[in-house]
Amino acid sequence: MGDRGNEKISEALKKVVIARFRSMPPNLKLSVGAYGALTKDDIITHIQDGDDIGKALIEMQVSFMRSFKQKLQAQV
Amino acid sequence: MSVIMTRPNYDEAINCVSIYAEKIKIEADKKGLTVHDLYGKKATRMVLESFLKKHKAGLVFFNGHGASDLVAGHDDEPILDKNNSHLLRAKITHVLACSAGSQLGPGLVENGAAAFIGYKNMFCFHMDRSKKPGDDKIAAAFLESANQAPISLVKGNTVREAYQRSQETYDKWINYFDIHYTLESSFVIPLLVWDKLNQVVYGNENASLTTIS
Repeated sequence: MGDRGNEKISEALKKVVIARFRSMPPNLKLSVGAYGALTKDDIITHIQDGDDIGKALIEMQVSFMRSFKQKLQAQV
Repeated sequence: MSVIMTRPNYDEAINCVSIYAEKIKIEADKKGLTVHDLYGKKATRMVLESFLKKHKAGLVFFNGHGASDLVAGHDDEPILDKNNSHLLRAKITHVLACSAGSQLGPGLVENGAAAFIGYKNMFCFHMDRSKKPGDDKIAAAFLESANQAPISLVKGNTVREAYQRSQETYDKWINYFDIHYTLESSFVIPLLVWDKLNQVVYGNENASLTTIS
Protein backbone atom coordinates (compact mmCIF):
# COMPACT_ATOMS: atom_id res chain seq x y z
CA MET A 1 0.00 0.00 0.00
CA GLY A 2 2.71 2.39 1.09
CA ASP A 3 4.75 1.66 -2.03
CA ARG A 4 1.79 2.16 -4.34
CA GLY A 5 1.12 5.44 -2.59
CA ASN A 6 4.68 6.51 -3.22
CA GLU A 7 4.36 5.54 -6.87
CA LYS A 8 1.24 7.69 -7.17
CA ILE A 9 3.07 10.62 -5.60
CA SER A 10 5.95 10.09 -7.99
CA GLU A 11 3.62 10.07 -10.99
CA ALA A 12 1.93 13.22 -9.76
CA LEU A 13 5.29 14.87 -9.21
CA LYS A 14 6.42 13.77 -12.64
CA LYS A 15 3.41 15.49 -14.18
CA VAL A 16 3.99 18.68 -12.21
CA VAL A 17 7.67 18.82 -13.12
CA ILE A 18 6.97 18.05 -16.80
CA ALA A 19 4.36 20.82 -16.85
CA ARG A 20 6.93 23.20 -15.43
CA PHE A 21 9.60 22.29 -17.96
CA ARG A 22 7.12 22.66 -20.84
CA SER A 23 7.20 26.39 -20.11
CA MET A 24 11.01 26.56 -20.16
CA PRO A 25 12.13 29.29 -22.59
CA PRO A 26 13.63 27.75 -25.76
CA ASN A 27 16.88 29.71 -25.38
CA LEU A 28 17.74 27.82 -22.18
CA LYS A 29 19.79 24.66 -22.06
CA LEU A 30 20.42 22.69 -18.90
CA SER A 31 23.83 21.25 -18.14
CA VAL A 32 23.53 18.27 -15.85
CA GLY A 33 26.97 16.80 -15.34
CA ALA A 34 28.03 14.09 -17.72
CA TYR A 35 24.54 13.96 -19.23
CA GLY A 36 25.49 16.97 -21.33
CA ALA A 37 23.56 20.10 -22.23
CA LEU A 38 19.87 19.23 -22.38
CA THR A 39 17.17 21.00 -24.34
CA LYS A 40 13.61 21.29 -23.11
CA ASP A 41 12.60 18.23 -25.15
CA ASP A 42 15.54 16.20 -23.79
CA ILE A 43 14.54 17.11 -20.23
CA ILE A 44 10.91 16.13 -20.71
CA THR A 45 11.93 12.80 -22.28
CA HIS A 46 14.22 11.98 -19.34
CA ILE A 47 11.46 12.74 -16.84
CA GLN A 48 8.88 10.74 -18.81
CA ASP A 49 11.29 7.79 -19.04
CA GLY A 50 11.94 7.98 -15.29
CA ASP A 51 15.67 7.42 -15.81
CA ASP A 52 18.39 8.63 -13.43
CA ILE A 53 18.56 12.10 -14.87
CA GLY A 54 14.77 12.38 -14.88
CA LYS A 55 14.68 11.40 -11.21
CA ALA A 56 17.43 13.90 -10.43
CA LEU A 57 15.52 16.69 -12.18
CA ILE A 58 12.42 15.89 -10.11
CA GLU A 59 14.56 15.83 -6.95
CA MET A 60 15.92 19.30 -7.79
CA GLN A 61 12.45 20.76 -8.17
CA VAL A 62 11.26 19.13 -4.93
CA SER A 63 14.37 20.38 -3.14
CA PHE A 64 13.60 23.92 -4.30
CA MET A 65 9.94 23.67 -3.25
CA ARG A 66 11.03 22.43 0.20
CA SER A 67 13.54 25.25 0.66
CA PHE A 68 10.90 27.75 -0.52
CA LYS A 69 8.41 26.32 1.98
CA GLN A 70 10.98 26.55 4.80
CA LYS A 71 11.72 30.15 3.87
CA LEU A 72 8.02 30.99 3.96
CA GLN A 73 7.56 29.22 7.31
CA ALA A 74 10.51 31.12 8.75
CA GLN A 75 8.85 34.40 7.74
CA VAL A 76 5.55 33.56 9.48
CA MET B 1 53.62 28.82 -4.43
CA SER B 2 51.60 27.79 -7.44
CA VAL B 3 48.12 26.83 -8.55
CA ILE B 4 47.31 23.85 -10.73
CA MET B 5 44.04 23.90 -12.62
CA THR B 6 42.43 21.42 -15.00
CA ARG B 7 40.23 22.84 -17.75
CA PRO B 8 39.11 20.21 -20.23
CA ASN B 9 36.96 21.56 -23.05
CA TYR B 10 35.72 18.54 -25.02
CA ASP B 11 31.98 19.18 -24.72
CA GLU B 12 29.69 22.21 -24.69
CA ALA B 13 29.08 22.36 -20.94
CA ILE B 14 32.69 21.68 -19.93
CA ASN B 15 33.92 24.22 -22.46
CA CYS B 16 31.64 26.81 -20.87
CA VAL B 17 32.91 25.91 -17.36
CA SER B 18 36.51 26.15 -18.53
CA ILE B 19 35.98 29.55 -20.16
CA TYR B 20 34.63 31.02 -16.91
CA ALA B 21 37.52 29.42 -14.98
CA GLU B 22 39.95 31.69 -16.84
CA LYS B 23 39.04 34.45 -14.38
CA ILE B 24 40.74 32.49 -11.59
CA LYS B 25 43.88 32.38 -13.67
CA ILE B 26 43.76 36.17 -14.10
CA GLU B 27 43.28 36.70 -10.35
CA ALA B 28 46.12 34.30 -9.55
CA ASP B 29 48.41 36.13 -11.99
CA LYS B 30 47.57 39.44 -10.26
CA LYS B 31 48.66 37.89 -6.96
CA GLY B 32 51.92 36.73 -8.45
CA LEU B 33 51.04 33.05 -8.22
CA THR B 34 52.32 30.72 -10.90
CA VAL B 35 49.41 29.00 -12.64
CA HIS B 36 49.85 25.62 -14.28
CA ASP B 37 46.86 25.47 -16.58
CA LEU B 38 46.08 21.97 -17.84
CA TYR B 39 43.76 23.15 -20.58
CA GLY B 40 42.00 21.01 -23.17
CA LYS B 41 43.90 17.85 -24.10
CA LYS B 42 46.50 18.58 -21.41
CA ALA B 43 43.93 17.70 -18.72
CA THR B 44 45.03 14.07 -18.45
CA ARG B 45 45.87 11.91 -15.46
CA MET B 46 49.48 11.52 -16.52
CA VAL B 47 50.07 15.27 -16.93
CA LEU B 48 48.24 16.10 -13.70
CA GLU B 49 50.25 13.59 -11.66
CA SER B 50 53.48 14.86 -13.19
CA PHE B 51 52.61 18.49 -12.30
CA LEU B 52 51.52 17.54 -8.78
CA LYS B 53 54.86 15.80 -8.20
CA LYS B 54 56.99 18.47 -9.82
CA HIS B 55 55.44 21.74 -8.58
CA LYS B 56 54.73 23.03 -5.10
CA ALA B 57 51.05 23.80 -5.55
CA GLY B 58 49.01 25.13 -2.66
CA LEU B 59 45.72 25.04 -4.54
CA VAL B 60 44.52 22.49 -7.06
CA PHE B 61 41.37 23.48 -8.89
CA PHE B 62 39.53 20.89 -10.97
CA ASN B 63 36.91 21.66 -13.62
CA GLY B 64 35.23 18.76 -15.35
CA HIS B 65 32.71 16.01 -15.08
CA GLY B 66 32.66 14.10 -11.85
CA ALA B 67 31.11 11.31 -9.86
CA SER B 68 31.02 10.51 -6.16
CA ASP B 69 34.46 8.89 -6.29
CA LEU B 70 36.30 10.64 -9.14
CA VAL B 71 36.94 13.72 -11.21
CA ALA B 72 37.38 13.42 -14.97
CA GLY B 73 39.66 15.28 -17.33
CA HIS B 74 39.93 15.33 -21.12
CA ASP B 75 37.54 12.91 -22.82
CA ASP B 76 36.13 11.72 -19.47
CA GLU B 77 39.40 10.15 -18.36
CA PRO B 78 39.34 9.75 -14.55
CA ILE B 79 42.23 11.97 -13.45
CA LEU B 80 41.59 12.03 -9.71
CA ASP B 81 40.37 9.16 -7.56
CA LYS B 82 41.38 7.32 -4.41
CA ASN B 83 44.44 5.81 -6.12
CA ASN B 84 46.19 9.15 -6.61
CA SER B 85 44.51 11.17 -3.85
CA HIS B 86 47.74 11.11 -1.79
CA LEU B 87 49.19 13.59 -4.30
CA LEU B 88 46.88 16.25 -2.86
CA ARG B 89 48.33 15.91 0.63
CA ALA B 90 48.64 19.33 2.36
CA LYS B 91 46.96 21.08 -0.57
CA ILE B 92 43.65 22.92 -0.78
CA THR B 93 41.46 21.29 -3.41
CA HIS B 94 38.50 22.85 -5.18
CA VAL B 95 36.41 20.62 -7.44
CA LEU B 96 33.83 22.13 -9.77
CA ALA B 97 32.24 18.88 -10.88
CA CYS B 98 29.29 16.74 -9.96
CA SER B 99 29.11 14.73 -6.74
CA ALA B 100 32.84 14.56 -5.84
CA GLY B 101 31.94 16.14 -2.50
CA SER B 102 30.01 13.06 -1.41
CA GLN B 103 32.89 10.51 -1.20
CA LEU B 104 36.04 11.73 -2.89
CA GLY B 105 36.20 15.02 -0.94
CA PRO B 106 36.02 13.48 2.54
CA GLY B 107 38.45 10.78 1.36
CA LEU B 108 40.98 13.39 0.21
CA VAL B 109 40.89 15.08 3.60
CA GLU B 110 41.26 11.71 5.37
CA ASN B 111 44.34 11.15 3.20
CA GLY B 112 45.88 14.44 4.28
CA ALA B 113 44.54 17.14 1.95
CA ALA B 114 44.42 20.46 3.81
CA ALA B 115 40.84 21.12 2.76
CA PHE B 116 38.26 20.43 0.08
CA ILE B 117 35.47 22.52 -1.42
CA GLY B 118 33.12 20.91 -3.91
CA TYR B 119 29.61 19.60 -4.53
CA LYS B 120 27.98 16.58 -2.90
CA ASN B 121 25.41 16.15 -5.67
CA MET B 122 25.10 17.04 -9.35
CA PHE B 123 26.39 20.51 -10.23
CA CYS B 124 23.85 21.88 -12.68
CA PHE B 125 23.60 25.11 -14.57
CA HIS B 126 21.56 26.74 -17.27
CA MET B 127 23.09 28.18 -20.41
CA ASP B 128 21.57 30.68 -22.80
CA ARG B 129 21.78 29.16 -26.29
CA SER B 130 21.48 32.59 -27.87
CA LYS B 131 24.71 33.80 -26.23
CA LYS B 132 28.36 32.84 -26.57
CA PRO B 133 29.93 31.33 -23.43
CA GLY B 134 31.58 34.27 -21.70
CA ASP B 135 28.74 36.62 -22.74
CA ASP B 136 26.09 34.40 -21.18
CA LYS B 137 24.73 36.09 -18.06
CA ILE B 138 22.74 33.02 -17.07
CA ALA B 139 25.73 30.65 -17.12
CA ALA B 140 27.76 33.41 -15.45
CA ALA B 141 25.43 33.41 -12.44
CA PHE B 142 26.22 29.76 -11.72
CA LEU B 143 29.89 29.76 -12.61
CA GLU B 144 30.77 33.07 -10.95
CA SER B 145 29.09 31.82 -7.76
CA ALA B 146 31.08 28.58 -7.81
CA ASN B 147 34.34 30.24 -8.88
CA GLN B 148 34.14 32.79 -6.11
CA ALA B 149 35.60 30.10 -3.83
CA PRO B 150 38.88 29.59 -5.74
CA ILE B 151 39.11 33.32 -6.51
CA SER B 152 38.85 34.03 -2.80
CA LEU B 153 41.52 31.39 -2.10
CA VAL B 154 44.01 32.86 -4.58
CA LYS B 155 43.43 36.25 -2.92
CA GLY B 156 44.77 34.69 0.29
CA ASN B 157 41.52 34.13 2.16
CA THR B 158 40.89 31.08 4.31
CA VAL B 159 38.92 28.07 3.15
CA ARG B 160 36.03 29.11 5.42
CA GLU B 161 35.99 32.63 3.94
CA ALA B 162 36.18 31.22 0.40
CA TYR B 163 33.22 28.94 1.04
CA GLN B 164 31.21 31.77 2.65
CA ARG B 165 31.95 34.19 -0.21
CA SER B 166 30.85 31.61 -2.73
CA GLN B 167 27.62 31.04 -0.77
CA GLU B 168 27.08 34.81 -0.64
CA THR B 169 27.61 35.05 -4.40
CA TYR B 170 24.93 32.39 -4.92
CA ASP B 171 22.61 34.53 -2.75
CA LYS B 172 23.52 37.64 -4.75
CA TRP B 173 22.54 35.98 -8.01
CA ILE B 174 19.39 34.40 -6.52
CA ASN B 175 18.32 37.87 -5.41
CA TYR B 176 19.24 39.33 -8.80
CA PHE B 177 16.98 36.90 -10.67
CA ASP B 178 14.28 37.34 -8.04
CA ILE B 179 14.29 41.12 -8.50
CA HIS B 180 14.68 41.00 -12.31
CA TYR B 181 12.01 38.33 -12.55
CA THR B 182 11.35 36.75 -15.95
CA LEU B 183 10.24 33.30 -17.05
CA GLU B 184 13.93 32.38 -17.18
CA SER B 185 14.29 33.29 -13.50
CA SER B 186 11.81 30.59 -12.49
CA PHE B 187 14.20 28.01 -13.96
CA VAL B 188 17.47 29.61 -12.94
CA ILE B 189 16.62 30.25 -9.27
CA PRO B 190 15.82 26.61 -8.33
CA LEU B 191 19.14 25.45 -9.78
CA LEU B 192 21.12 28.20 -8.06
CA VAL B 193 19.47 27.12 -4.80
CA TRP B 194 20.29 23.48 -5.59
CA ASP B 195 23.98 24.18 -6.25
CA LYS B 196 24.24 26.42 -3.20
CA LEU B 197 22.75 23.75 -0.93
CA ASN B 198 25.04 21.07 -2.35
CA GLN B 199 28.28 22.98 -1.96
CA VAL B 200 30.35 21.40 0.82
CA VAL B 201 33.59 22.10 2.64
CA TYR B 202 35.80 19.60 4.50
CA GLY B 203 39.09 19.76 6.32
CA ASN B 204 40.90 22.68 7.93
CA GLU B 205 38.69 25.69 7.32
CA ASN B 206 41.41 28.01 8.63
CA ALA B 207 43.82 26.90 5.91
CA SER B 208 44.80 29.44 3.26
CA LEU B 209 47.51 29.67 0.62
CA THR B 210 49.52 31.66 3.18
CA THR B 211 49.26 29.11 5.99
CA ILE B 212 50.14 26.09 3.87
CA SER B 213 53.07 27.69 2.04
